[in-house]
Amino acid sequence: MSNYRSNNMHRPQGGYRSPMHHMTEPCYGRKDHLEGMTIAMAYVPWQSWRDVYDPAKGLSRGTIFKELDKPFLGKGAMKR
Amino acid sequence: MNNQPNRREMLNTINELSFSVLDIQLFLDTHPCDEDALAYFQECSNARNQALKEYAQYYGPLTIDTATASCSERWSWINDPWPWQEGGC
Repeated sequence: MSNYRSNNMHRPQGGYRSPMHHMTEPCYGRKDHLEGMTIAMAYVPWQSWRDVYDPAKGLSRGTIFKELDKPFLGKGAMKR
Repeated sequence: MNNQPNRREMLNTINELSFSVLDIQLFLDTHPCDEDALAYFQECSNARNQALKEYAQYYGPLTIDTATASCSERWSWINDPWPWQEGGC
């Protein structure tokens, strides 16, 4: 997404990248969903039992959980 | 011999079920009281045990746990092909 890329380059110092904020423009006044939480800490939301693949699909995808079946590409969370 | 289920397919089923059992197991490690997960674990684990047993009946035991499930009257564990001996049977 070329728009995103160019915005990215011109945004002010202190902006941070997070998948959540990709589409929020400009960089001011956006909503921080994690506001109030301690910075520099990682959070792992609690997993629930849902959307389970059958055994054949699970083995081929490497997880039986649809929620964890993500296209990890080793490129960071860029919108493509 | 024609009614004999395909060895590769049986192995594949066992692999699929084993993976599911393992993944549910990981979930249960952190959610020990989740009833849906427990029920699905039971289901997959039973199916896996059944598949291992059936495999043993036709092609010999994959693990020592199903050594008695194979139809042979003598101890045949040592005669079965090892995992790396693909052409063994």
